[in-house]
Amino acid sequence: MGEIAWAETLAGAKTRATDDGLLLLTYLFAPG
Amino acid sequence: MDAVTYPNEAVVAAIERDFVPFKINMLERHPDFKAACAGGRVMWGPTIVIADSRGSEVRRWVGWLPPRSFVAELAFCRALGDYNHGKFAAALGGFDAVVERDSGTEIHPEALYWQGIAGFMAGPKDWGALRRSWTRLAEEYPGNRFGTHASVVEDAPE
Repeated sequence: MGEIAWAETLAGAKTRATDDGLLLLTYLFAPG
Repeated sequence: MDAVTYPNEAVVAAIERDFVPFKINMLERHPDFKAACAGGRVMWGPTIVIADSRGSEVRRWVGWLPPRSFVAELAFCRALGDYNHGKFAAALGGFDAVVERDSGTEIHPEALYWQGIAGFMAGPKDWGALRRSWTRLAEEYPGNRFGTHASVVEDAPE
């Protein structure tokens, strides 16, 4: 099984994205 | 998403290759809650937003997708991102790949639609490329939204 390296913060995600990079933002409505 | 799609190895590989992922649970008071919701509507979950590195939105959808469909959608978004940045040849290559590889997925008719547009722009003004993709789309997907959009191809210049 794989595991996604989720960014811990939105700012961290934007910092990791290169000029050509894309952000994948997921909004869940799930408990826990 | 967390039960089936995100643990899938093909999904993980596709995200690792082209995307920086961030996830927020709307039921929790995440410190980034306000920032993550700014500039967009989150009406239901899951909501997926693809944005470029400047935060400009490339695509947004609501609803679960199985792994194969999700990977196809990500490839489509990669091509759409290239198109948004004026990289029409790269975008065309991306849409070509989705059209060839992902027949049977939900994104396939829309990929055909954008394949025609990217082909036209990369030409430039290649009406033949647009006509080929849209004719195929209208024939393969009658009644589909993008099949309907493409049906105007009959009026395209020779």
